[in-house]
Amino acid sequence: MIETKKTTETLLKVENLKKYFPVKKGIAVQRYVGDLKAVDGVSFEIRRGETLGLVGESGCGKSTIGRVILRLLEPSKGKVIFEGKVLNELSHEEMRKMRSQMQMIFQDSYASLNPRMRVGDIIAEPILIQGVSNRAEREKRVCKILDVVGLSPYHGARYPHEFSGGQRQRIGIARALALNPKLIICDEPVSALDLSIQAQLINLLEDLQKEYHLTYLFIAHDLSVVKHISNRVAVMYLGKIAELANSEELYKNPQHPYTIALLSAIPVPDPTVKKDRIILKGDVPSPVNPPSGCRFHTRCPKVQTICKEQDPNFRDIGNDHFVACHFI
Amino acid sequence: MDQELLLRVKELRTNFHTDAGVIKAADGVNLEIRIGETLGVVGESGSGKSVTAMSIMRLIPMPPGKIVSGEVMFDGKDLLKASEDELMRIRGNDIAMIFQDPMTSLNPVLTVGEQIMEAIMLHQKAGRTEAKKKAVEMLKRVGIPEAEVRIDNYPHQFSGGMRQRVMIAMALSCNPKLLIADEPTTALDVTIQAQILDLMNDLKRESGTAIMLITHDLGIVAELCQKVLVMYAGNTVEYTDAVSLFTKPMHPYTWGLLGSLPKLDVWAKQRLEPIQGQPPDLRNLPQGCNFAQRCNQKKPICEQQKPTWLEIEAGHFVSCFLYKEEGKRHD
Repeated sequence: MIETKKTTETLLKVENLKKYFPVKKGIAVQRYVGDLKAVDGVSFEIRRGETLGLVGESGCGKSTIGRVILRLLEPSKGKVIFEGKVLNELSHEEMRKMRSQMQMIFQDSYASLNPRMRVGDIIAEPILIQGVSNRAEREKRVCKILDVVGLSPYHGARYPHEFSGGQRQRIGIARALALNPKLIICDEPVSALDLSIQAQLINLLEDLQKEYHLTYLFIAHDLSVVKHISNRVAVMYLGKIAELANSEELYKNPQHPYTIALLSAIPVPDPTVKKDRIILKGDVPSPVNPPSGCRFHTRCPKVQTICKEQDPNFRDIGNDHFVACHFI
Repeated sequence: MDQELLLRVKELRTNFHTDAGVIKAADGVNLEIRIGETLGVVGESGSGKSVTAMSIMRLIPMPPGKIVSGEVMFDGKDLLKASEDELMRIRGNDIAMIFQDPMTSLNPVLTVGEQIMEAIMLHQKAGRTEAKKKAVEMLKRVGIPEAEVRIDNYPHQFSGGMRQRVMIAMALSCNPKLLIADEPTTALDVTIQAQILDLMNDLKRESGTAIMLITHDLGIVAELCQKVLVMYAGNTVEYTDAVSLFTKPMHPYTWGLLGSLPKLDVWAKQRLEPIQGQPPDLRNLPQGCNFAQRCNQKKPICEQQKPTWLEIEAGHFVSCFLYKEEGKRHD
């Protein structure tokens, strides 16, 4: 948790964001048979200087949100507002300029680095695109960034396959930093890494945040990592946010039955602790045909009739704590 | 050798011969599992956890792999010296295995029923009807609803968690003495992982099967295992009971692992204390201790000699020069 430069000023706002993917069937003639509702009405804000954690199980739509914010995917509905500008209304050219302020770090560092480019060129590319045409100037900046992420200038002459997973992720971070962005969307940046390397990277991300006053949207499925790095945490389930609160509040005082179950499901690395685990029955339903009413009702231990009929509102219950449940 | 001992691995070395050189994947592995006990094997990728499991089962592809030396005593028999026929009787019967990816370890063109029945018919000499009855019973035991219908489904018709249940049903169908579970929940979501861990705990209590649980998640170790083995770069570095490992870890690598762990129950601002550097290249291991270059307790001797596997306290084994004098030699 980082205390410096954290404000309540909104940097990015997401309003009723929806992203549906059409589902088609048929081999010769493709028939539209429905929508996969990856993100279905999500609203939240990210404050300048903070880390907002976004957690949820696979298929809950957390990565899609990250992509829609950067307009790597176009939203089906809703708005993304960055520093007062509605991103969805910008032209391609305007959006390209905006992207220098919002960058992304991906989970799979190997797939996200071009294997045929030298690392130095990978990091220099965004600098070139944003109009720094002087080669020497670019090289100077690349060397500096490599140093910042804990690599050496001579690493710039190598290719991605010559690095370990942790080092490649450092290259991904370097590329994201190249343009001094304000917001970095980290999509599972440490999930593929071993514990000791993961800890190095988490510390690096924290240091960079302090030094460059970065704002992070930290998407992950590991609740311990998210708690460690985030100021506020949003829990997603099947395309919607179930609960959002500041990190300590969420982990100490979870309200939504899904959050409670999710937290109780984490194995604690302490053999002397015996936990009462809430085991959720069944699997996550398909987002193509999500349950009526509250999406969690098929697995919720506290389900009532109203849950099957009405979708609960996402409301503020005080103390900057938002929950979508009928019984809170 | 004590009566309760089910499996003892001593100084196991497994190499892989590749074009780029010899990879010492297991480089002196020592472990013990008693009857009904659960041993957690932790370590980072490339530390030799899976290679150890595959060597115990003698499933290492040869070539390029080769079990160079060591001893794997299972139930009084050295598996490294056993004939292929003997191994066939042991695999799937006395020792069963489940893997991380339940999709690739199930045959996609056979129904799950046939796959479970295969092992039962082979090892228990049961007929088809009897085997099918037993298969349905196993599927029920692992919590698959409508087992009578689901038995005729193919693997792709099951979700990830359900597939892992099928794998467990298959592994336990012959009442093995030892179950080797290689990252059984790594591919699953937290809530599904909780279901599987809960199931494994119940089955363990009912059947008394010993489990060798390979994982990288220290949380799972704390919840499920009595004993823990920590591996690093092909070596076993620490072996003890689960409580001691978390309360008084002895090896600097174990300290590093625990320091790298983000904690859920700590509210104050904390800074992780990772291990610096990266694991060594297994083709080119250092002359001394494999962990020496990353170790913050390094002494000159660490770079010259390999530490020996010592029992520092009763049941607490460490391979580190920090504890050279006090320990008595483990035979």
